[in-house]
Amino acid sequence: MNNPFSLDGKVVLITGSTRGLGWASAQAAAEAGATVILHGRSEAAGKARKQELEARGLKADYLAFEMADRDAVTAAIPTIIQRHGSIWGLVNNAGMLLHNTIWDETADTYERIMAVHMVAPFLLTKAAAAEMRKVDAADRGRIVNISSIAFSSPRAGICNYTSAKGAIVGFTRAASAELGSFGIRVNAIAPGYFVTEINKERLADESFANKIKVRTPAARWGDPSELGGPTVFLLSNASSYVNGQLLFVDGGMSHFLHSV
Amino acid sequence: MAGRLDGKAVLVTGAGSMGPGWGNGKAAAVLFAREGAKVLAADLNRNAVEQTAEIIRGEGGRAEIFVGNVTDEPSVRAMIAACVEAFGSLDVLHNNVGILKAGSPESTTVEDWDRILDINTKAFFLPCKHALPQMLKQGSGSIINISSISGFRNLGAPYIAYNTSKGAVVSFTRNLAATYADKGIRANSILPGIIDTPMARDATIQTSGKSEAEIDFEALAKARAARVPMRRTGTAWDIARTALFLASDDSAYITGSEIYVDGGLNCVA
Ligand SMILES: NC(=O)c1ccc[n+]([C@@H]2O[C@H](COP(=O)([O-])OP(=O)(O)OC[C@H]3O[C@@H](n4cnc5c(N)ncnc54)[C@H](OP(=O)(O)O)[C@@H]3O)[C@@H](O)[C@H]2O)c1
Ligand SMILES: NC(=O)c1ccc[n+]([C@@H]2O[C@H](COP(=O)([O-])OP(=O)(O)OC[C@H]3O[C@@H](n4cnc5c(N)ncnc54)[C@H](O)[C@@H]3O)[C@@H](O)[C@H]2O)c1
Repeated sequence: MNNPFSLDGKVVLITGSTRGLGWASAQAAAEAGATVILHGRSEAAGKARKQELEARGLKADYLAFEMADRDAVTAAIPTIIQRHGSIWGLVNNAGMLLHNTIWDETADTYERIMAVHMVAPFLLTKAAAAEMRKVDAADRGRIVNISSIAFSSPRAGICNYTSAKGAIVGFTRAASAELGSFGIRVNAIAPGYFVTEINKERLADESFANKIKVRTPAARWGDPSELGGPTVFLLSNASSYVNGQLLFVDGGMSHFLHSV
Repeated sequence: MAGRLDGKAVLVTGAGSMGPGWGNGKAAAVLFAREGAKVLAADLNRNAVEQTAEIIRGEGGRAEIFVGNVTDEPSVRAMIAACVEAFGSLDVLHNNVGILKAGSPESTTVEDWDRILDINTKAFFLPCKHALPQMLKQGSGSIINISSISGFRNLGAPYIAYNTSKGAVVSFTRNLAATYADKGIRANSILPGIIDTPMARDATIQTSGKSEAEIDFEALAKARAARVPMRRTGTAWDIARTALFLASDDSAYITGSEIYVDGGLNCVA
């Protein structure tokens, strides 16, 4: 019986996949049969992760570039096409947090965060979709954008991040309307609170870490591996008629308001 | 290859189909079985549900049937008990039953309002009410409730009672999810868009004011497909695949969520 979750023979770029949620998605996609293009700013980390996947008999390659560097971003998809011939999936996952109150915020920090979380995903989507369009098939490709629970339940001090994570949801919906007719589906994931490096300071802060447990109906932080299934779902045929969606992967947090 | 639901006991309500072809419940039951689940296919209509079970067994899968009514409490109790008795557990509850009758706020009779709200809300309330004790005992379970895009978007035809009942699916599911998430029980809603099923055909007949023979279903299907970003209407299999994801451990940290399976219909002006 054919497996609707299979990514056999598909080339998938997952940005920010040297650790955290991106690495979890990369492992799941590779296990589903994809050739995963790993990515982060660090060459060494990309290379090490590639070797790690290959040692498990999985297929991988890597690229290293800064998401805020437009030229480097623009070169990424052509490089993949040159090396692998095609691209089926793009997961716009790379991201970073930069805490600022509105009083400390500047146009520069705002622009930097928008460049990483919104402008680079747009450029990658445009370049990848242009390649997907060339494929002679009805079903041509998938884009998955990683938004955040911050989009629906933000906290103080992350206006820049939350704005960018909202922008990517608007982009997802508009791009789905536009690219759907080309056989390209665009969806987003809103992760809740996961144990990754991005949350290092919050995990170290016992009272905050506990607050998240109480605020999450599942009563625990998410494990990065729990993002692998949703990513593969959206990249594969399992989500055959899902388009323009924001999928919350948050242990129920987005619909729960419990006072601590 | 190992199936995604190997060894899991699944109850699908409305697992028959109201007409020839594939309804949402029927396709879900068959896909779950293909992925290794033991399926209790429940329906009011014995003939319809026997057909579903025969398809599953014909493919080498495991299926039992239960003929009963999801809006009748003793029947639902017996349905849950039958699942546990046959398979030893109840790991996935797929609430698919829903009925449709056209009517605007002015034209809907009180009798129709009561009947549609009663059936379409008890269809998820009662099976959940009686499945929860078993799932609590297990410390695990996944509940999937079938809502509809029309619970939140008016698609142009008057279905005031049906649409209200489908909106209720989502608020019920969110509340249930928040209450049981720390007990290992997840609950999510699927919101199908325009899906080609026997039920949709029936809906077209109801609102057209014409006889079945007079309707050009092909032209209608084309016009509907053109509204959707993916340029096609959905099939029962599209709904079944998303249900499979929610039923499986791949969605372990997803609860209280809604997934529209509509090709992007809710994203266009
Ligand atoms: N963890 C959560 O709770 C959570 C919740 C909601 C949303 N998210 C989102 O999920 C995504 C992944 O987060 P994570 O928790 O996995 O974070 P993480 O563990 O810090 O991983 C971030 C990844 O992105 C890369 N990266 C960061 N900034 C980059 C830049 N400017 N250019 C290129 N690559 C960059 C990192 O590699 P290098 O450092 O080597 O560049 C790393 O591979 C982000 O978009 C984040 O906003 C996370
Ligand atoms: N087809 C669409 O376009 C569409 C769109 C949105 C939502 N939906 C939803 O999908 C679900 C139905 O899908 P389907 O295609 O399987 O429909 P269907 O009508 O083909 O099948 C439903 C089955 O439920 C059974 N049933 C009805 N009342 C029952 C009761 N009280 N107890 C037990 N069984 C009962 C019927 O006998 C029938 O076999 C509904 O919830 C509907 O609202 C469908």
